[in-house]
Amino acid sequence: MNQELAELFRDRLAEAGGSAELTASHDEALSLVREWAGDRPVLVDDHPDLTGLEVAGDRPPDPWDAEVGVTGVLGAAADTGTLALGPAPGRPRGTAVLPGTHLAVVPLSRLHADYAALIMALGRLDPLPSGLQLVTGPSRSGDIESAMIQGMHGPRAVRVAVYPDR
Amino acid sequence: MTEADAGARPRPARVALFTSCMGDLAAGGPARATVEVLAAMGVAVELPRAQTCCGQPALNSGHPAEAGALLDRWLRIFAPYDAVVTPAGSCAAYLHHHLGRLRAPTPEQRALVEHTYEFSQFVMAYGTELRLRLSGSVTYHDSCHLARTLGERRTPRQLLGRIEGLTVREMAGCDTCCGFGGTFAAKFPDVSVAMADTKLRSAAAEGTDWLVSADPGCLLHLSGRARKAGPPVRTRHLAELVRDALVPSEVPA
Amino acid sequence: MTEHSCGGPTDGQRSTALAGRERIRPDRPEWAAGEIPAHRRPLPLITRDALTVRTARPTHDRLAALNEERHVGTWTPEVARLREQGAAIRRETLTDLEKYLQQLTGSVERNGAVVHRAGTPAEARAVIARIARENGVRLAVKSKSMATEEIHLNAHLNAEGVEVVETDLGEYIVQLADERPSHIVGPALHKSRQDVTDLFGQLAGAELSGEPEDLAAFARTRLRADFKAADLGISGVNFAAADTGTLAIVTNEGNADMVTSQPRVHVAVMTVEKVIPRFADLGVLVPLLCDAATKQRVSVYQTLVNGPRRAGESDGPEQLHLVILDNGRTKALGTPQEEVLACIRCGNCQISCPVYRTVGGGHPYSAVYGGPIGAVLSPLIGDPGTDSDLPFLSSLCGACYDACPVKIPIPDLLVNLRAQHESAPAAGAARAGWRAWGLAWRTGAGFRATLAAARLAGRLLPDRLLARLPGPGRGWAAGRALPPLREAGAFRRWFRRYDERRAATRKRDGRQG
Repeated sequence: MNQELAELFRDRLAEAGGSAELTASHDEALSLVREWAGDRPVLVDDHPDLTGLEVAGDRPPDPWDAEVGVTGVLGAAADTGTLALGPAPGRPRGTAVLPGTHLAVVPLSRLHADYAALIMALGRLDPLPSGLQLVTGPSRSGDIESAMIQGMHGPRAVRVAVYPDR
Repeated sequence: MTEADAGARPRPARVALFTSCMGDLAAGGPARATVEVLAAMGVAVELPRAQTCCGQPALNSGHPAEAGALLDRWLRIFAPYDAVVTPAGSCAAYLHHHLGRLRAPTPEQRALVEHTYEFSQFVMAYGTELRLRLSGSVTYHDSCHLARTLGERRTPRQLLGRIEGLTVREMAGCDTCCGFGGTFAAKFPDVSVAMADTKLRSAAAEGTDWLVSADPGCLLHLSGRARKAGPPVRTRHLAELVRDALVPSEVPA
Repeated sequence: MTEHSCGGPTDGQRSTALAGRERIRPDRPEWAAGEIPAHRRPLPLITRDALTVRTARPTHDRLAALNEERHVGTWTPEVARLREQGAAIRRETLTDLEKYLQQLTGSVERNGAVVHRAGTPAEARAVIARIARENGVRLAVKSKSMATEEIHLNAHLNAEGVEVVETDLGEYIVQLADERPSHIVGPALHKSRQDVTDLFGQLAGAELSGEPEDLAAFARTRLRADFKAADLGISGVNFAAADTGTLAIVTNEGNADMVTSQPRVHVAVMTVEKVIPRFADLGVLVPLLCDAATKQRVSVYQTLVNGPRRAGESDGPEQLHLVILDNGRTKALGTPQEEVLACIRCGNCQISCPVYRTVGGGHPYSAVYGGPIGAVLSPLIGDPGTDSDLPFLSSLCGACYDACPVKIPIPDLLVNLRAQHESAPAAGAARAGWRAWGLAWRTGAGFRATLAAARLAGRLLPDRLLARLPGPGRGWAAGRALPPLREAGAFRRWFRRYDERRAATRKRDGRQG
């Protein structure tokens, strides 16, 4: 069941222009993220799912100069390939929008079957965070002759490592 | 409902033709063809002489009081009949859609409108034994109100499909409005004509012998444009095409 | 490259994105301008001219292709279910809109934001200008908002010394071209790639590559500087959940995330009908909106704002303001026209509309909102009588109803508005004409007299002359051959003879049988 959901998530995120890898463990997920980040300037959220992550790149003094942002998630939706993020101290909104690449880790326990279920789960958070960012793939625009342009204001790449946590 | 089910229904005893004002004023051909096809089905259609108009032009122009008065009159004149058939798809749709919006109808009035058929609906419901043959090719223009308000996209095509020897080719945007729109055609003539050109170009691209439709309004507009300056496309009302396709033994004497 | 091409702001300007704007040579018809003239020409003349504008035909073809590709007007079973649910949710608030607005206000205030109710565009503008003044704002970045178009916010803030930069790529394009959005969701749908290349080239004072990716990169670089420098972020609201006070903004570009997270102050502007009962309703309405607007399962971003930044957070606005604008909408409550308030601004009815496509998009409608929904909404908002002729700019084909994700009966609403227009004092002559018509056609004799007159005219007068007579015939004959009027009544004469023959045959058969 979880495996099927994870595969659906991967396929739907791919349709939206992003990509996901289904890993066997939290460690494997973190090492993938480390590999993807390379040595580029990077913002890493202060998130329990990222504990133990060591990236080669430095944190730039100005977040606008970061090339990679790494986040955990509040939840995800399989049928749309959506990630849900909420700001908190150490987890600014900018991590997922300022850099050109957004990397995220998703534990299977927080992967919901569909978008409506994700929304229901977020609605049960008490208190709600000051904001919620729902992200489905890379930023895009169709404003020039409906041609699909990837990477408008937000990231042009969204990569996700999914891992089993139970 | 399938053809077989429909064929099993008892035929209405008294059937009236609703010519529509368009039919009386400038599109007599489709009305005549409707009478002839119904005759071939063994239906001796009656023509209530007092009929005028369903009121659609008034309502769509912003005059619901006039439209209501004409609707009342329509309901009175056609009340004695078991069924009403009209070659004007838009008028049939108008009656179905606006009866309850303009008036609080009695059950009898509701039943009368429920038994008001656009030509192809009636033929497909009660004329399954007709033999039709005509060589040639057509493309079918969905008139808006027949397709959208009455939801009839399949029935007219099924009727065309019954004509042996006829090729039907679908044009791009077959259900895109031709730009007639009643008084719209006169209020915004340039936009209306530009829309006709789009439609005629789509039809011309199919290279068929005829553009066929089930609405005299669309056809007057399209043929008027084609004759004046538009892409050269010949138009035909579905009823006329079916009348021409009647196998000779079935043409009424 | 010229000395201007570095694209930095000059003295007195803080915006990087708008730098070089004075080099742009306007190339648009008057009816496309950002500011709509108070006394515009009659719609039949504007739409006639619109057909001859260079961009009209290509725009028609692009829109028609979109309409076909997306199968506008048909719904997958999955989305058809969402459509039923969404239509019901959108009508729930209409039963007691004020109750939901009060609930929303309470929730948003509990979240730490300030709520401003504005009855008129002037009130809304004044509130926003005051917020800008009090915070020493000189540069504002804005993510797509039709509500701010409706109150002509940009011009007003400019006059207050605040530069406002549109950050949605399409909005940025029309802002530079000094035009209005021509479509609710795709503001620059009427622009070709070449148009955008020329426009950006003039802005840069240099020749640019015409690749969409390169054009987007050009805009991205400039707008990014403004996201960083702006003191104020202005956004619209797609849905506002009454129970949690959540403001939901739907984008693909990510500009709403920027606008609501980087500037010190965020002002969200919504019109009254954007309120929805529950946060959970987003699970229905967001996918429904995205399917209708762009045929996506969901858009790339849904930015849900639950309040200003909290203690310890390093971004997000320090102040959040919500402006709730009425602008005439609540007048429609309790009337059949209230259905228009169910609209979720997907723009699908516009794509579906053959009139909208033919005239090259929304500009010739000469209102903030064009197309079918615009023809219903525009007469409701603003000054009484404004745009009351818009409902006639439709062939009533009904494609908009099939395309509407919340099942607004747009054609019926158009017909209702036509009746309103015709009941105004100015329409006295038309009323008299229709009354005379109604009286004549209410009798069989009157109708037959019409047929006889038409037949006589058709016989005696050549088409050339008929085409010049005042009345509907003149409009008809401009581009079409007249129908054969001399045949008026011919069917009835044929039927009489036919019926006599038929009766005779029946009698003979009866005798034989």
